[in-house]
Amino acid sequence: MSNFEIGFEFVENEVAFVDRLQVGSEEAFETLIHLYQSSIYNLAYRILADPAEASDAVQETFMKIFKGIRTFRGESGLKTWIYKIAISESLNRRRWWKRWRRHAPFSVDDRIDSRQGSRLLEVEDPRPTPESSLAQAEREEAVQGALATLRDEQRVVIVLRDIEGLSYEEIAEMLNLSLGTVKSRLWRARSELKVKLESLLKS
Amino acid sequence: MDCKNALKLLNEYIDDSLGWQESEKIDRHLSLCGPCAGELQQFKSLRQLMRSLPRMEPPRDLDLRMKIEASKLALPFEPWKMFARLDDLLRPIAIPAVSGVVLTCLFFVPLLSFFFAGMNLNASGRDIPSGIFTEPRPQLLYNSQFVQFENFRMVKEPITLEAEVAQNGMVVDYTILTGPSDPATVKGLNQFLFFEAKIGPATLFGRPTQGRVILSLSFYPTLSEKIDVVG
Repeated sequence: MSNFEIGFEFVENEVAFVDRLQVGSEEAFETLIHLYQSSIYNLAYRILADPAEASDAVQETFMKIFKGIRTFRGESGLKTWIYKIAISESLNRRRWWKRWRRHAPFSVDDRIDSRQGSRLLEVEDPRPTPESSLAQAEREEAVQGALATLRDEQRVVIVLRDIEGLSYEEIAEMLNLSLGTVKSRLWRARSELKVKLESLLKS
Repeated sequence: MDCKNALKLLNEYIDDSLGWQESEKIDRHLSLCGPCAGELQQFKSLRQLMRSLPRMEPPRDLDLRMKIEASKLALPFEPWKMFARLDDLLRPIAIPAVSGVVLTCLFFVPLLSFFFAGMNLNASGRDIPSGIFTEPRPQLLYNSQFVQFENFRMVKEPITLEAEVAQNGMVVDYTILTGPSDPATVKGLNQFLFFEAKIGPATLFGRPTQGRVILSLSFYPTLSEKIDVVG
């Protein structure tokens, strides 16, 4: 059975999947990694803006899941629970990072690092010209830089909503916030980004 | 609907999470209000920009690292397997560690004699310890503990003196510290120290050098013509 088939089975029967995780099935854990690794890595990367830190955050998240799965009671969905752990891990790392490495979060070196991971195919532009690649890289750097200036709670909300595409309700549950708070944080985050990226948006 | 209310709801309008009635109200407002329509356009562009960020692919070894960590966690704690684990842990560093210890021994063992004075690690005990200053050593005349000397007939009490010994072992000067210093005694001492006494010079790194030595000269009434020289 391929990982994808297991994945679809999991979506349809989360309870059985959690049971398998709780009895320590290696196969189930591999499926879990396959299903969530990429999303959590992207979430951590957008919060931490550092590929190595994001990798460590993902690893630590899965280890916490592995250790804590027996205590998972299913009060929230598995996805919500996993994202909660990932967000908490990424924010903790970011706080530690800010405290101990106070120099500018972006440098030429960081930019080189950020290309370490190969990217998935970009449907809109499968064969970019060097100019468009450069423009895309500049855009990405500008957005990432603007994201980094947001307060942690605003950045998390906008990453979850606009990059990960989660609903207001899911975000509220993951962050233990009311819907109103999620909406207001999203509004502030978008307004700040709009100002910071004005030139890019007009072009 | 005025601009203030419209802007408040713009967020949810963009995310399609408004009811149809409110959506229609905003639609109507936007069709009439240029600035609000401009704002909406900018927010839409922003969301588009965020969505166009490329998906980053995790490092290829990440899932392997996680599986390894997970399998470590899955292992039950078995104390009797600790030695096997320790063995696994130490095996890769065994050769470098042993080499390091051997090299350290080779380097430091010859130096131990410097750290522990009197410790003799040489093959022959007659080697002159280098790096250590040795004081001048009196070499007794006639290979005897006692010195026969005519001029000392009049020495009735012990004399302690400090002699300055040159590199060649000859006394070049001396000072009487205790004991008689009458002309007859001084004359006898001059004759003895400057012309007859043999004193091994002080050494530094095994080479002769200048030094000072305290000498004790005693007169033994029972052996009336003998003087004991003690360095």
